[in-house]
Amino acid sequence: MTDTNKPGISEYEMLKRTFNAIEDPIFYLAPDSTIIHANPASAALLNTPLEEIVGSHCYQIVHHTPSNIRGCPFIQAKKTKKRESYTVNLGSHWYQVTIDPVLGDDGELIGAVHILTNIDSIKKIHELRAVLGAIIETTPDPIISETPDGHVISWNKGAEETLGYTAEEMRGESIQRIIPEDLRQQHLETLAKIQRGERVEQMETRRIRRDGEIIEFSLSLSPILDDRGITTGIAVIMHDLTEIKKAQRALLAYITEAALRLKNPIEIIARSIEEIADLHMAGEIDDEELNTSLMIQVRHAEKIIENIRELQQSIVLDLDEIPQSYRKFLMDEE
Amino acid sequence: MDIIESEDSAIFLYISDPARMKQTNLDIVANLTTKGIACIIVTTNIPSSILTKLYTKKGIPMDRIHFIDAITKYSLGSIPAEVPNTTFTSNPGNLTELGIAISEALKKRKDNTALIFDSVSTLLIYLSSPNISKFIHFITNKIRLLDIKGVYLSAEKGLDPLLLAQISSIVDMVMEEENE
Repeated sequence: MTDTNKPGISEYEMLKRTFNAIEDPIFYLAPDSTIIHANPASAALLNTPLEEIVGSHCYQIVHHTPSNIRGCPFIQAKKTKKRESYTVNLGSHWYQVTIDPVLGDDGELIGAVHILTNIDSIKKIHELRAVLGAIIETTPDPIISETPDGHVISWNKGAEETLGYTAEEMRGESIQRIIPEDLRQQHLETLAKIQRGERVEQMETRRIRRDGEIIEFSLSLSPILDDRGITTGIAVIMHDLTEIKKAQRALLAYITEAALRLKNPIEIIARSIEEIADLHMAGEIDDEELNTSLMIQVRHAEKIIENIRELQQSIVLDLDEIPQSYRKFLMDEE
Repeated sequence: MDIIESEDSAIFLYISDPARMKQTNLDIVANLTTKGIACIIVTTNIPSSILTKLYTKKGIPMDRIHFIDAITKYSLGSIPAEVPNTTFTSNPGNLTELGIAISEALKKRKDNTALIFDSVSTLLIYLSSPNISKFIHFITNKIRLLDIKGVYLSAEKGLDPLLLAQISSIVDMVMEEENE
Protein backbone atom coordinates (compact mmCIF):
# COMPACT_ATOMS: atom_id res chain seq x y z
CA MET A 1 0.00 0.00 0.00
CA THR A 2 1.57 3.29 -1.08
CA ASP A 3 0.66 6.94 -1.32
CA THR A 4 0.74 6.53 -5.11
CA ASN A 5 -2.15 4.13 -4.94
CA LYS A 6 -4.23 6.12 -2.45
CA PRO A 7 -3.30 9.78 -2.76
CA GLY A 8 -4.53 11.99 0.05
CA ILE A 9 -5.55 9.18 2.45
CA SER A 10 -3.25 7.94 5.15
CA GLU A 11 -2.85 4.25 5.75
CA TYR A 12 -4.38 4.68 9.21
CA GLU A 13 -7.38 6.47 7.72
CA MET A 14 -7.83 3.77 5.08
CA LEU A 15 -7.65 1.01 7.69
CA LYS A 16 -10.09 2.90 9.90
CA ARG A 17 -12.53 3.28 7.02
CA THR A 18 -12.18 -0.40 6.19
CA PHE A 19 -12.75 -1.26 9.85
CA ASN A 20 -15.89 0.84 9.91
CA ALA A 21 -17.14 -0.57 6.60
CA ILE A 22 -16.98 -4.24 7.62
CA GLU A 23 -20.49 -5.66 8.13
CA ASP A 24 -19.43 -8.07 10.86
CA PRO A 25 -19.17 -6.57 14.35
CA ILE A 26 -15.52 -6.18 15.44
CA PHE A 27 -14.23 -5.31 18.88
CA TYR A 28 -10.67 -4.65 19.95
CA LEU A 29 -10.19 -5.47 23.60
CA ALA A 30 -7.46 -4.58 26.05
CA PRO A 31 -6.10 -7.43 28.25
CA ASP A 32 -8.54 -6.44 31.04
CA SER A 33 -11.52 -6.89 28.66
CA THR A 34 -12.04 -3.16 28.13
CA ILE A 35 -13.30 -2.41 24.66
CA ILE A 36 -10.85 -0.02 23.01
CA HIS A 37 -12.27 -0.01 19.52
CA ALA A 38 -15.60 -1.10 18.03
CA ASN A 39 -16.98 -0.63 14.53
CA PRO A 40 -20.47 0.68 13.68
CA ALA A 41 -21.71 -2.90 13.06
CA SER A 42 -21.04 -3.52 16.77
CA ALA A 43 -23.23 -0.57 17.71
CA ALA A 44 -25.98 -1.97 15.47
CA LEU A 45 -25.62 -5.43 17.01
CA LEU A 46 -25.79 -4.17 20.60
CA ASN A 47 -28.22 -1.37 19.78
CA THR A 48 -25.95 0.93 21.77
CA PRO A 49 -24.05 4.08 20.66
CA LEU A 50 -20.35 3.52 19.96
CA GLU A 51 -19.40 6.05 22.63
CA GLU A 52 -21.06 3.87 25.28
CA ILE A 53 -19.46 0.70 23.96
CA VAL A 54 -15.91 1.97 23.85
CA GLY A 55 -14.49 2.04 27.38
CA SER A 56 -16.90 -0.57 28.70
CA HIS A 57 -15.97 -4.10 29.61
CA CYS A 58 -17.13 -6.59 27.04
CA TYR A 59 -18.89 -8.79 29.62
CA GLN A 60 -20.89 -5.75 30.81
CA ILE A 61 -21.99 -4.51 27.41
CA VAL A 62 -22.33 -7.82 25.56
CA HIS A 63 -23.29 -10.36 28.23
CA HIS A 64 -24.58 -7.97 30.92
CA THR A 65 -22.58 -9.80 33.62
CA PRO A 66 -20.31 -8.31 36.32
CA SER A 67 -17.31 -10.39 35.20
CA ASN A 68 -16.11 -12.55 32.32
CA ILE A 69 -18.52 -15.32 31.51
CA ARG A 70 -17.65 -18.88 32.32
CA GLY A 71 -15.55 -20.41 29.53
CA CYS A 72 -14.86 -16.97 28.04
CA PRO A 73 -12.69 -17.60 24.97
CA PHE A 74 -10.85 -14.32 25.54
CA ILE A 75 -9.58 -15.68 28.86
CA GLN A 76 -8.62 -18.84 27.00
CA ALA A 77 -6.85 -16.87 24.24
CA LYS A 78 -4.88 -14.97 26.89
CA LYS A 79 -3.55 -18.30 28.07
CA THR A 80 -2.97 -20.00 24.72
CA LYS A 81 -2.07 -16.84 22.80
CA LYS A 82 -3.74 -18.53 19.87
CA ARG A 83 -6.98 -18.00 17.97
CA GLU A 84 -10.04 -19.17 19.94
CA SER A 85 -13.63 -19.29 18.78
CA TYR A 86 -17.08 -20.17 19.99
CA THR A 87 -20.69 -19.72 18.96
CA VAL A 88 -23.04 -17.48 20.83
CA ASN A 89 -26.67 -16.50 20.56
CA LEU A 90 -27.19 -12.77 20.76
CA GLY A 91 -30.68 -11.47 20.40
CA SER A 92 -32.32 -13.81 17.92
CA HIS A 93 -29.16 -14.51 15.91
CA TRP A 94 -26.32 -16.96 16.07
CA TYR A 95 -22.73 -15.73 15.80
CA GLN A 96 -19.38 -17.40 15.40
CA VAL A 97 -17.05 -15.35 17.62
CA THR A 98 -13.34 -15.49 16.70
CA ILE A 99 -10.78 -14.06 19.10
CA ASP A 100 -7.34 -13.33 17.63
CA PRO A 101 -4.78 -12.33 20.28
CA VAL A 102 -2.51 -9.37 19.48
CA LEU A 103 0.95 -9.88 20.94
CA GLY A 104 3.53 -7.23 21.79
CA ASP A 105 7.19 -7.36 20.80
CA ASP A 106 7.92 -9.28 23.98
CA GLY A 107 5.32 -11.89 22.99
CA GLU A 108 2.91 -10.83 25.69
CA LEU A 109 -0.73 -10.26 24.94
CA ILE A 110 -1.53 -6.60 24.53
CA GLY A 111 -5.06 -6.98 23.17
CA ALA A 112 -7.36 -9.12 21.08
CA VAL A 113 -9.54 -8.70 18.02
CA HIS A 114 -13.07 -10.10 18.37
CA ILE A 115 -14.88 -10.71 15.10
CA LEU A 116 -18.53 -11.85 15.22
CA THR A 117 -19.79 -13.59 12.09
CA ASN A 118 -23.50 -14.16 11.63
CA ILE A 119 -23.99 -17.89 11.12
CA ASP A 120 -27.80 -18.00 11.07
CA SER A 121 -27.90 -19.57 7.60
CA ILE A 122 -25.24 -22.16 8.45
CA LYS A 123 -27.00 -22.94 11.70
CA LYS A 124 -30.32 -23.39 9.87
CA ILE A 125 -28.70 -25.70 7.32
CA HIS A 126 -27.22 -27.75 10.15
CA GLU A 127 -30.56 -27.91 11.90
CA LEU A 128 -32.31 -28.90 8.66
CA ARG A 129 -29.67 -31.55 8.01
CA ALA A 130 -30.17 -32.89 11.52
CA VAL A 131 -33.94 -33.05 11.01
CA LEU A 132 -33.60 -34.70 7.59
CA GLY A 133 -31.03 -37.10 8.98
CA ALA A 134 -33.39 -38.06 11.79
CA ILE A 135 -36.23 -38.59 9.30
CA ILE A 136 -34.05 -40.79 7.08
CA GLU A 137 -32.80 -42.78 10.05
CA THR A 138 -36.20 -43.33 11.63
CA THR A 139 -38.27 -44.10 8.53
CA PRO A 140 -39.07 -47.79 8.12
CA ASP A 141 -38.55 -47.51 4.34
CA PRO A 142 -35.07 -48.29 3.04
CA ILE A 143 -33.28 -45.11 1.89
CA ILE A 144 -29.98 -45.69 0.15
CA SER A 145 -27.53 -43.42 -1.60
CA GLU A 146 -25.12 -44.83 -4.12
CA THR A 147 -22.34 -43.63 -6.40
CA PRO A 148 -23.18 -43.16 -10.07
CA ASP A 149 -21.63 -46.57 -10.77
CA GLY A 150 -23.77 -48.26 -8.14
CA HIS A 151 -21.68 -48.50 -4.95
CA VAL A 152 -23.40 -47.87 -1.64
CA ILE A 153 -22.64 -44.54 0.06
CA SER A 154 -25.25 -44.63 2.80
CA TRP A 155 -27.69 -47.24 4.09
CA ASN A 156 -30.34 -46.26 6.66
CA LYS A 157 -31.92 -48.30 9.46
CA GLY A 158 -34.96 -49.06 7.29
CA ALA A 159 -32.61 -50.68 4.76
CA GLU A 160 -30.90 -52.64 7.54
CA GLU A 161 -34.21 -53.94 8.87
CA THR A 162 -35.86 -54.64 5.52
CA LEU A 163 -32.90 -56.07 3.62
CA GLY A 164 -31.00 -57.66 6.48
CA TYR A 165 -27.55 -56.11 5.82
CA THR A 166 -25.99 -53.55 8.20
CA ALA A 167 -24.80 -50.17 6.94
CA GLU A 168 -21.25 -51.21 7.80
CA GLU A 169 -21.53 -54.29 5.61
CA MET A 170 -22.99 -52.44 2.65
CA ARG A 171 -21.05 -49.15 2.60
CA GLY A 172 -18.72 -49.28 -0.41
CA GLU A 173 -20.27 -52.53 -1.67
CA SER A 174 -21.90 -52.85 -5.07
CA ILE A 175 -25.67 -52.46 -4.94
CA GLN A 176 -25.87 -55.40 -7.37
CA ARG A 177 -25.58 -57.59 -4.27
CA ILE A 178 -29.29 -57.07 -3.54
CA ILE A 179 -30.48 -57.09 -7.17
CA PRO A 180 -31.71 -60.36 -8.74
CA GLU A 181 -29.51 -61.44 -11.63
CA ASP A 182 -32.20 -60.94 -14.27
CA LEU A 183 -32.64 -57.30 -13.19
CA ARG A 184 -28.98 -56.24 -12.97
CA GLN A 185 -28.64 -55.03 -16.54
CA GLN A 186 -31.86 -53.05 -16.18
CA HIS A 187 -30.46 -51.38 -13.05
CA LEU A 188 -27.25 -50.38 -14.84
CA GLU A 189 -29.32 -48.86 -17.63
CA THR A 190 -31.35 -46.92 -15.05
CA LEU A 191 -28.16 -45.54 -13.47
CA ALA A 192 -26.91 -44.44 -16.90
CA LYS A 193 -30.23 -42.78 -17.60
CA ILE A 194 -30.00 -40.78 -14.35
CA GLN A 195 -26.44 -39.72 -15.15
CA ARG A 196 -27.63 -38.43 -18.51
CA GLY A 197 -30.07 -36.26 -16.58
CA GLU A 198 -33.13 -38.19 -17.78
CA ARG A 199 -36.09 -38.49 -15.49
CA VAL A 200 -36.74 -41.96 -14.06
CA GLU A 201 -40.34 -42.77 -13.18
CA GLN A 202 -41.17 -44.59 -9.97
CA MET A 203 -40.83 -48.31 -10.69
CA GLU A 204 -41.93 -51.60 -9.19
CA THR A 205 -39.19 -54.20 -8.97
CA ARG A 206 -37.69 -56.97 -6.87
CA ARG A 207 -34.72 -57.08 -4.48
CA ILE A 208 -33.07 -59.89 -2.52
CA ARG A 209 -32.96 -59.96 1.25
CA ARG A 210 -29.92 -61.31 3.07
CA ASP A 211 -31.83 -64.57 3.75
CA GLY A 212 -32.47 -64.97 0.02
CA GLU A 213 -36.13 -64.01 0.10
CA ILE A 214 -37.25 -61.97 -2.88
CA ILE A 215 -39.19 -58.84 -1.92
CA GLU A 216 -41.26 -56.61 -4.18
CA PHE A 217 -40.50 -52.88 -3.87
CA SER A 218 -41.53 -49.61 -5.41
CA LEU A 219 -38.41 -47.52 -6.10
CA SER A 220 -37.96 -43.77 -6.48
CA LEU A 221 -34.55 -42.81 -7.86
CA SER A 222 -33.26 -39.27 -8.05
CA PRO A 223 -29.86 -37.75 -8.79
CA ILE A 224 -27.71 -36.14 -6.08
CA LEU A 225 -26.23 -33.05 -7.76
CA ASP A 226 -23.23 -30.96 -6.71
CA ASP A 227 -23.02 -27.14 -7.01
CA ARG A 228 -22.16 -27.46 -10.70
CA GLY A 229 -25.19 -29.64 -11.39
CA ILE A 230 -23.06 -32.75 -11.90
CA THR A 231 -24.50 -36.07 -10.68
CA THR A 232 -22.33 -37.23 -7.80
CA GLY A 233 -24.67 -39.89 -6.52
CA ILE A 234 -28.14 -41.39 -6.67
CA ALA A 235 -30.70 -41.37 -3.90
CA VAL A 236 -32.95 -44.42 -3.78
CA ILE A 237 -36.13 -44.53 -1.69
CA MET A 238 -37.66 -48.00 -1.50
CA HIS A 239 -41.09 -49.06 -0.29
CA ASP A 240 -41.82 -52.69 0.54
CA LEU A 241 -44.83 -53.82 -1.52
CA THR A 242 -45.13 -57.32 -0.07
CA GLU A 243 -48.21 -56.55 1.98
CA ILE A 244 -49.85 -54.50 -0.75
CA LYS A 245 -49.27 -57.26 -3.31
CA LYS A 246 -50.67 -59.85 -0.94
CA ALA A 247 -53.74 -57.70 -0.41
CA GLN A 248 -54.09 -57.21 -4.17
CA ARG A 249 -53.99 -60.96 -4.78
CA ALA A 250 -56.52 -61.53 -1.99
CA LEU A 251 -58.73 -58.85 -3.50
CA LEU A 252 -58.63 -60.56 -6.90
CA ALA A 253 -59.57 -63.87 -5.31
CA TYR A 254 -62.34 -62.12 -3.41
CA ILE A 255 -63.72 -60.45 -6.54
CA THR A 256 -63.76 -63.79 -8.40
CA GLU A 257 -65.50 -65.56 -5.54
CA ALA A 258 -67.90 -62.67 -5.04
CA ALA A 259 -68.82 -62.77 -8.74
CA LEU A 260 -69.61 -66.45 -8.48
CA ARG A 261 -71.34 -66.33 -5.13
CA LEU A 262 -73.07 -62.99 -5.56
CA LYS A 263 -73.48 -61.75 -9.15
CA ASN A 264 -74.67 -64.97 -10.78
CA PRO A 265 -77.04 -66.08 -8.00
CA ILE A 266 -78.49 -62.57 -7.80
CA GLU A 267 -79.15 -62.77 -11.53
CA ILE A 268 -81.02 -66.04 -10.98
CA ILE A 269 -83.08 -64.39 -8.24
CA ALA A 270 -83.83 -61.36 -10.43
CA ARG A 271 -84.99 -63.53 -13.35
CA SER A 272 -87.04 -65.77 -11.03
CA ILE A 273 -88.83 -62.77 -9.54
CA GLU A 274 -89.59 -61.50 -13.04
CA GLU A 275 -91.03 -64.88 -13.98
CA ILE A 276 -93.07 -65.06 -10.77
CA ALA A 277 -94.49 -61.60 -11.45
CA ASP A 278 -95.37 -62.59 -15.03
CA LEU A 279 -97.06 -65.79 -13.89
CA HIS A 280 -99.07 -63.91 -11.28
CA MET A 281 -100.06 -61.20 -13.75
CA ALA A 282 -101.18 -63.88 -16.19
CA GLY A 283 -103.26 -65.50 -13.48
CA GLU A 284 -101.27 -68.73 -13.68
CA ILE A 285 -100.40 -68.66 -9.97
CA ASP A 286 -102.55 -67.38 -7.11
CA ASP A 287 -101.54 -65.05 -4.24
CA GLU A 288 -100.48 -67.90 -1.99
CA GLU A 289 -98.23 -69.35 -4.67
CA LEU A 290 -96.85 -65.88 -5.36
CA ASN A 291 -96.01 -65.60 -1.67
CA THR A 292 -94.36 -69.05 -1.65
CA SER A 293 -92.27 -68.20 -4.70
CA LEU A 294 -91.17 -64.90 -3.23
CA MET A 295 -90.25 -66.57 0.05
CA ILE A 296 -87.99 -68.96 -1.88
CA GLN A 297 -86.18 -66.05 -3.46
CA VAL A 298 -85.85 -64.37 -0.04
CA ARG A 299 -84.26 -67.55 1.33
CA HIS A 300 -81.89 -67.65 -1.64
CA ALA A 301 -80.92 -64.03 -0.94
CA GLU A 302 -80.38 -64.76 2.77
CA LYS A 303 -78.15 -67.68 1.88
CA ILE A 304 -76.14 -65.48 -0.49
CA ILE A 305 -75.59 -62.94 2.32
CA GLU A 306 -74.44 -65.79 4.58
CA ASN A 307 -72.06 -67.00 1.84
CA ILE A 308 -70.56 -63.54 1.42
CA ARG A 309 -70.11 -63.22 5.18
CA GLU A 310 -68.30 -66.56 5.26
CA LEU A 311 -66.14 -65.46 2.34
CA GLN A 312 -65.21 -62.21 4.10
CA GLN A 313 -64.36 -64.04 7.29
CA SER A 314 -62.21 -66.60 5.51
CA ILE A 315 -60.25 -63.78 3.85
CA VAL A 316 -59.79 -61.97 7.16
CA LEU A 317 -58.61 -65.16 8.87
CA ASP A 318 -56.18 -65.95 6.06
CA LEU A 319 -54.59 -62.49 5.91
CA ASP A 320 -52.72 -60.99 8.87
CA GLU A 321 -52.01 -57.73 7.06
CA ILE A 322 -55.58 -56.43 6.93
CA PRO A 323 -55.85 -53.18 8.94
CA GLN A 324 -57.83 -53.52 12.17
CA SER A 325 -60.62 -51.17 11.03
CA TYR A 326 -61.20 -53.24 7.86
CA ARG A 327 -60.92 -56.47 9.83
CA LYS A 328 -63.75 -55.33 12.12
CA PHE A 329 -65.83 -54.24 9.15
CA LEU A 330 -65.38 -57.53 7.28
CA MET A 331 -66.06 -59.55 10.42
CA ASP A 332 -69.25 -57.54 11.04
CA GLU A 333 -67.90 -56.44 14.42
CA GLU A 334 -68.95 -53.25 16.16
CA MET B 1 -79.15 -84.55 -31.39
CA ASP B 2 -80.78 -83.58 -28.11
CA ILE B 3 -82.20 -85.47 -25.15
CA ILE B 4 -85.56 -85.88 -26.90
CA GLU B 5 -84.08 -87.37 -30.04
CA SER B 6 -81.71 -89.73 -28.27
CA GLU B 7 -83.14 -93.22 -28.13
CA ASP B 8 -80.68 -94.65 -25.64
CA SER B 9 -79.60 -93.65 -22.20
CA ALA B 10 -77.94 -90.29 -22.35
CA ILE B 11 -77.00 -87.48 -19.98
CA PHE B 12 -77.18 -83.84 -21.07
CA LEU B 13 -76.16 -80.54 -19.54
CA TYR B 14 -78.47 -77.75 -20.68
CA ILE B 15 -77.05 -74.25 -20.27
CA SER B 16 -79.77 -71.69 -20.58
CA ASP B 17 -80.28 -67.95 -20.29
CA PRO B 18 -81.54 -67.36 -16.71
CA ALA B 19 -84.69 -65.79 -18.16
CA ARG B 20 -85.44 -68.98 -20.15
CA MET B 21 -84.75 -71.58 -17.48
CA LYS B 22 -88.42 -72.25 -16.69
CA GLN B 23 -89.30 -72.53 -20.36
CA THR B 24 -86.41 -74.95 -20.98
CA ASN B 25 -87.67 -77.12 -18.14
CA LEU B 26 -91.23 -77.11 -19.56
CA ASP B 27 -90.08 -77.91 -23.09
CA ILE B 28 -87.86 -80.82 -22.05
CA VAL B 29 -90.47 -82.36 -19.74
CA ALA B 30 -93.25 -81.90 -22.30
CA ASN B 31 -91.23 -83.56 -25.05
CA LEU B 32 -90.05 -86.45 -22.90
CA THR B 33 -93.52 -87.25 -21.58
CA THR B 34 -94.94 -87.03 -25.09
CA LYS B 35 -92.57 -89.86 -25.97
CA GLY B 36 -93.88 -91.85 -23.03
CA ILE B 37 -90.94 -91.16 -20.77
CA ALA B 38 -91.64 -90.60 -17.08
CA CYS B 39 -89.76 -87.75 -15.42
CA ILE B 40 -88.33 -87.34 -11.94
CA ILE B 41 -87.95 -83.58 -11.46
CA VAL B 42 -85.50 -82.37 -8.80
CA THR B 43 -86.35 -78.74 -8.17
CA THR B 44 -84.25 -76.29 -6.15
CA ASN B 45 -85.81 -73.03 -7.34
CA ILE B 46 -89.45 -73.32 -8.50
CA PRO B 47 -91.78 -74.97 -5.95
CA SER B 48 -93.38 -78.21 -7.15
CA SER B 49 -96.86 -76.74 -6.61
CA ILE B 50 -96.18 -74.10 -9.26
CA LEU B 51 -94.47 -76.55 -11.61
CA THR B 52 -97.55 -78.77 -11.31
CA LYS B 53 -99.76 -75.89 -12.46
CA LEU B 54 -97.42 -75.01 -15.32
CA TYR B 55 -97.10 -78.64 -16.48
CA THR B 56 -100.84 -79.15 -16.29
CA LYS B 57 -101.46 -76.03 -18.35
CA LYS B 58 -98.99 -77.32 -20.93
CA GLY B 59 -100.84 -80.60 -21.10
CA ILE B 60 -98.14 -82.69 -19.48
CA PRO B 61 -99.62 -85.86 -18.01
CA MET B 62 -98.96 -85.56 -14.29
CA ASP B 63 -99.11 -89.31 -13.73
CA ARG B 64 -95.73 -89.46 -15.45
CA ILE B 65 -94.20 -86.89 -13.12
CA HIS B 66 -92.55 -87.32 -9.73
CA PHE B 67 -91.17 -84.27 -7.95
CA ILE B 68 -88.31 -84.08 -5.50
CA ASP B 69 -88.90 -80.63 -4.07
CA ALA B 70 -85.82 -79.36 -2.20
CA ILE B 71 -86.98 -75.79 -1.73
CA THR B 72 -90.59 -75.53 -0.51
CA LYS B 73 -90.05 -76.92 3.00
CA TYR B 74 -86.83 -74.92 3.41
CA SER B 75 -88.53 -71.67 2.44
CA LEU B 76 -91.90 -72.05 4.15
CA GLY B 77 -90.85 -74.19 7.11
CA SER B 78 -93.69 -76.62 6.36
CA ILE B 79 -95.05 -78.65 3.46
CA PRO B 80 -98.57 -78.85 2.03
CA ALA B 81 -100.52 -81.91 3.18
CA GLU B 82 -101.24 -84.84 0.88
CA VAL B 83 -99.36 -83.87 -2.23
CA PRO B 84 -99.19 -86.85 -4.61
CA ASN B 85 -96.03 -87.88 -6.44
CA THR B 86 -93.86 -85.46 -4.48
CA THR B 87 -90.97 -85.95 -2.06
CA PHE B 88 -90.04 -82.92 -0.02
CA THR B 89 -86.53 -82.58 1.35
CA SER B 90 -85.63 -80.16 4.09
CA ASN B 91 -82.83 -78.12 2.55
CA PRO B 92 -81.20 -77.79 -0.90
CA GLY B 93 -77.82 -77.98 0.83
CA ASN B 94 -78.56 -81.36 2.43
CA LEU B 95 -77.11 -83.63 -0.25
CA THR B 96 -77.47 -86.81 1.81
CA GLU B 97 -81.21 -86.32 2.09
CA LEU B 98 -81.45 -85.29 -1.56
CA GLY B 99 -79.41 -88.33 -2.65
CA ILE B 100 -81.65 -90.68 -0.66
CA ALA B 101 -84.79 -89.07 -2.13
CA ILE B 102 -83.43 -89.47 -5.68
CA SER B 103 -82.40 -93.09 -5.02
CA GLU B 104 -85.85 -93.90 -3.64
CA ALA B 105 -87.61 -92.26 -6.58
CA LEU B 106 -85.40 -94.14 -9.05
CA LYS B 107 -86.15 -97.44 -7.31
CA LYS B 108 -89.87 -96.86 -7.81
CA ARG B 109 -89.45 -95.87 -11.45
CA LYS B 110 -91.23 -97.53 -14.29
CA ASP B 111 -89.42 -98.14 -17.55
CA ASN B 112 -88.32 -95.19 -19.63
CA THR B 113 -87.52 -92.66 -16.99
CA ALA B 114 -85.55 -89.45 -17.10
CA LEU B 115 -84.08 -87.53 -14.15
CA ILE B 116 -84.26 -83.75 -14.59
CA PHE B 117 -82.14 -81.64 -12.19
CA ASP B 118 -83.29 -78.01 -12.09
CA SER B 119 -80.86 -76.48 -11.45
CA VAL B 120 -77.14 -76.92 -10.73
CA SER B 121 -76.61 -73.15 -10.68
CA THR B 122 -79.22 -72.64 -7.93
CA LEU B 123 -77.57 -75.40 -5.93
CA LEU B 124 -74.38 -73.31 -6.01
CA ILE B 125 -76.07 -70.82 -3.68
CA TYR B 126 -76.16 -73.55 -1.03
CA LEU B 127 -73.06 -75.61 -1.71
CA SER B 128 -69.46 -75.27 -2.78
CA SER B 129 -68.37 -76.26 -6.29
CA PRO B 130 -66.34 -79.30 -5.09
CA ASN B 131 -69.35 -80.70 -3.17
CA ILE B 132 -71.65 -80.19 -6.13
CA SER B 133 -69.14 -81.85 -8.43
CA LYS B 134 -69.03 -84.94 -6.16
CA PHE B 135 -72.83 -85.04 -5.98
CA ILE B 136 -73.20 -84.78 -9.77
CA HIS B 137 -70.73 -87.67 -10.14
CA PHE B 138 -72.82 -89.72 -7.70
CA ILE B 139 -76.11 -89.05 -9.54
CA THR B 140 -74.50 -89.59 -12.94
CA ASN B 141 -73.24 -93.03 -11.85
CA LYS B 142 -76.77 -93.95 -10.77
CA ILE B 143 -78.23 -92.79 -14.09
CA ARG B 144 -75.60 -94.77 -16.01
CA LEU B 145 -76.20 -97.93 -13.94
CA LEU B 146 -79.94 -97.75 -14.48
CA ASP B 147 -79.48 -96.97 -18.17
CA ILE B 148 -81.91 -94.04 -18.13
CA LYS B 149 -81.78 -90.45 -19.35
CA GLY B 150 -80.56 -87.52 -17.30
CA VAL B 151 -80.67 -83.74 -17.69
CA TYR B 152 -78.81 -81.16 -15.65
CA LEU B 153 -80.07 -77.62 -16.08
CA SER B 154 -77.87 -74.62 -15.39
CA ALA B 155 -78.09 -70.88 -15.87
CA GLU B 156 -75.65 -69.40 -18.35
CA LYS B 157 -72.48 -68.24 -16.54
CA GLY B 158 -73.93 -69.83 -13.41
CA LEU B 159 -71.03 -72.28 -12.98
CA ASP B 160 -67.40 -71.51 -12.35
CA PRO B 161 -65.05 -72.65 -15.13
CA LEU B 162 -63.72 -75.64 -13.18
CA LEU B 163 -67.16 -77.01 -12.26
CA LEU B 164 -68.39 -76.48 -15.81
CA ALA B 165 -65.40 -78.42 -17.14
CA GLN B 166 -65.97 -81.24 -14.65
CA ILE B 167 -69.66 -81.62 -15.45
CA SER B 168 -69.00 -81.29 -19.17
CA SER B 169 -66.54 -84.16 -18.96
CA ILE B 170 -69.03 -86.61 -17.44
CA VAL B 171 -72.16 -85.81 -19.48
CA ASP B 172 -72.67 -87.01 -23.04
CA MET B 173 -73.48 -83.62 -24.45
CA VAL B 174 -73.58 -79.96 -23.43
CA MET B 175 -76.46 -78.01 -24.97
CA GLU B 176 -76.06 -74.24 -24.92
CA GLU B 177 -79.25 -72.47 -25.79
CA GLU B 178 -78.87 -69.30 -27.80
CA ASN B 179 -80.22 -66.11 -26.30
CA GLU B 180 -83.36 -64.76 -27.86
